[in-house]
Amino acid sequence: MISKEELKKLEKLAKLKFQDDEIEQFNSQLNDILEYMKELDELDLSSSDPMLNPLSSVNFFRDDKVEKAFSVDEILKNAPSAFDRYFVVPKVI
Amino acid sequence: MIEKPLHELLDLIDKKEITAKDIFNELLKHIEQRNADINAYISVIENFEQKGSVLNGLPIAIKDNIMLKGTKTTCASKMLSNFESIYDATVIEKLKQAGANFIGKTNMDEFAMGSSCETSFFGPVNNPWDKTRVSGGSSGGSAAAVASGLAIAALGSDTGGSIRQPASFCGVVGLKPTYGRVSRFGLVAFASSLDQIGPIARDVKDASLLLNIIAGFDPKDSTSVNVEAPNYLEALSEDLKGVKIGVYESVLQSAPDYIVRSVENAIDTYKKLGAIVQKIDLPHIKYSISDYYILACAEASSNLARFDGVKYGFRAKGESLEEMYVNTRSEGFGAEVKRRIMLGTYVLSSGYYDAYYVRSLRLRNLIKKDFDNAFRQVDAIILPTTPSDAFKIGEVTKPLDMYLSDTFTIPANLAGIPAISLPCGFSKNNLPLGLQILSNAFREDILLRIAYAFEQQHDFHKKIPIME
Repeated sequence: MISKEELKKLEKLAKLKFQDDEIEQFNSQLNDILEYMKELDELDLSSSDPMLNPLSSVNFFRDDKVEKAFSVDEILKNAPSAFDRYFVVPKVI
Repeated sequence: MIEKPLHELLDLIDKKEITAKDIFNELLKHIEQRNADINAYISVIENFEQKGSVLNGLPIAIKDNIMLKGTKTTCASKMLSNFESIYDATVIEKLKQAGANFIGKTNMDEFAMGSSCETSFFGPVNNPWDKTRVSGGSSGGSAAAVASGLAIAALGSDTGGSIRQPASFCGVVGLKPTYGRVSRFGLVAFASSLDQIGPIARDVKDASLLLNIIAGFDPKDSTSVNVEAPNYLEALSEDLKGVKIGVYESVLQSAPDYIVRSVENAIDTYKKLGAIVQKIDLPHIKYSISDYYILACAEASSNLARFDGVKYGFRAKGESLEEMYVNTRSEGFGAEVKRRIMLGTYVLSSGYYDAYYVRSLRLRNLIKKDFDNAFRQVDAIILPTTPSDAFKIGEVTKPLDMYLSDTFTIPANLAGIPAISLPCGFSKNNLPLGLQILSNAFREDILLRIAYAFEQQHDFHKKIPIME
């Protein structure tokens, strides 16, 4: 089950922050789900290969040539904050 | 008029009895009068263009996680509530080439995560058969629109049942194609190895017509498959002599009586049509829900990492970049999305990766092998779409209970096989029930034939909810 400390670690990884009043309920919901998933522990899966994709997939490449892409205006269209050809964000350093 | 399926309207247009523009305008009028009641649409499109080709200008409704250039694609989330698409999804390009107009972007569960449309930032979609009940999810807006005459046909997306379950709850046809049959380019990704776009329509013929248009290899989607798509309309037939249909008993044991009866009635219909019905077994299927939620949440946690307030979407205040990221994501995402991201992050994190994620990949392989075995014995498998009729809005409060309602639809996504839901009856609450049919990968031809044959023996698909 997920402890409070592990939850804090996950928050950092996921870049999420839960409010104090949410965290209790959230923890118990997550643990409910993990409890249900314990049914998988009884399975012997050693003889089965991991399957990432239901198709036997073949990688698809394209030629390394420059193709038509989007204009700067289109790329910046949905930017919350932009200047010239840049996305503007809070100071990093 | 707007209650007729696409193929009938196309006939009438051919005979010059109506025009696509008439249909479009009538739909708009109906949306104006009724959409507030159902909340099927997040945005409505009012521009109509004269077009020819297969669809002759008829309008299609599009789920709001599919890019349609010039429209908002919100994924029913605060995170993208102002996001405007700058390109068309491949399915949209194909629809445009086929002469489609677009009537609007339909409501859904936030980022396609849900089975009821209750997680939408724009409010739930009300079931047109009973407005106190859910339309299902996550393509609830598309299904409710088609069911209530607010759309003629629509596109949805299906990751764990999100086309089929709302289709079942709303009494319409919903098809999830084989994984790789339809391009995902332009579909906002939830779980990349499970997502598929598919049609939601009034009948099987319409679903086949739309599949013809959207199916096909796309170099912009490296998971799409270069397998020729047949003409699915030519597959439709009522002759099922020699066709083998499988039923797996444990499903029928776990469902309530009225659901079991709907499948038993379907078995009777199939026997009457000359099909051979036999038992099959899928030994690992009972672990599907656990398997799915580990894999889907893992993939979602990765796919949704891009929403950070930098290049597009909602941005919250923050003193530093890090704070901006955290505040943006915490305020921009709803509770269910955050829950799934956390679960996904957990199962992928160091120390748990092998125990959860890798084991789930191995189990997925076993589930696929179960289906491979079954399809050596039968051409298709039938089962219910859902374990109940549409539940009331607000009734299902525990996330785990909501996940358990996907029990019949999830296996097809894990195995990558095509699956369809079509109306097969009504519950004693007068709510639609859905029959689900599965077939082997790239065998939508036999799937649609078996669906069509059943449909034509009944008139469930002709029933429309009464709208005052």
